[in-house]
Amino acid sequence: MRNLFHVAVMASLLAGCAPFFGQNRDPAYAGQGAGTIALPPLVLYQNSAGPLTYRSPAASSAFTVEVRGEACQRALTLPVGLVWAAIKTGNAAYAPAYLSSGWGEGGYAQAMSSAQKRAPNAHLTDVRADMRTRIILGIWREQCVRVVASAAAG
Amino acid sequence: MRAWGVLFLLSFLAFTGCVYTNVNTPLSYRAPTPNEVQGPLTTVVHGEACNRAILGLVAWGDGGYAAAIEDAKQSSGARMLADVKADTRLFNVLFIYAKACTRVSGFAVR
Repeated sequence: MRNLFHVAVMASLLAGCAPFFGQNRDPAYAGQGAGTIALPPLVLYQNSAGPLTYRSPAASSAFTVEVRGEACQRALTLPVGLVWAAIKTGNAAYAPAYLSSGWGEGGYAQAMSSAQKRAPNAHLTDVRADMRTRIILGIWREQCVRVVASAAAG
Repeated sequence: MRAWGVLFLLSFLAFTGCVYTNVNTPLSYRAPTPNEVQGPLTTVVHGEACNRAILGLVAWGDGGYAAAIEDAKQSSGARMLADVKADTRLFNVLFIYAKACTRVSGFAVR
C-alpha cells in the first residue's frame, strides 16, 4: 500500500508538463492555448486579454524585412493549504486549493501594435503567430503571443 | 522535520505542475495560397521546430510556426513559403523524454 502511494506521487510528479506535449488538451492550470490565461478556481483578480482570431494579409511580393512583436499575459497562482489539507483529510482531492490572479494585454492587437512600432510605415503581412509559455514551479506563469511578420513598404 | 520538508516539496511539485517551462507553441498562421504569390511553385520544402521535456518536469524549446518556417527557409534558400501544410508530431518515451514538433511543408517562393 505504501509503495502504491509512492508510485502515485511519482506519477503526479511526472505529469507536470504534459499539456505541452499533446497528452492533455485541458488548458486549465497550464494556461496553454488561445484566449485569456486560464486560472484555477479561487480567482482573486483577473484583468487580461488574450488572442482569439486574426486573419493576416497575404504575403507581399515587394521586398520585405521581418519584424517581431510580443504581447503578454501573466498569472500568479499560490497553492494554499496544499500539505495541510492533504494530510488532515488524507484525501488528495482537497490538496489543490489555489488563489490566483491574472493580468496583461496579451492579444493579437497588442502584439501587432508592438511589431508595427518597429516598422511604422509598413504593411505587415504573412504573420506567423506563436504562443510562448513560461512557467516557474506553477506559481508564476507568462503567456505571450509572439508574431513574426513581413514588413513591406507601404 | 526533514520528512515534513520532503513531503511538502513533493506535494508542492505534484500539485503545481512543471518545475520550469519555457516553450513556444504554434498559435495561428495564414500562409499565402499559390494564387497570392508570383513565380513558379515547383519545389516542396520542409521545416521542423521542436519543444522538448525531461521527466515532464522541465520543458524547453521553440516549436512554433515562426521557427518551423525559418527552418524551411534556411534549408532551401526560399524567400517565403506558399501553400503551407502544418502538422504536429509527438515522440514520447514513458514521459522520461518527450519531444513535440511542428512540421511544415510548402512550396518555396524565391
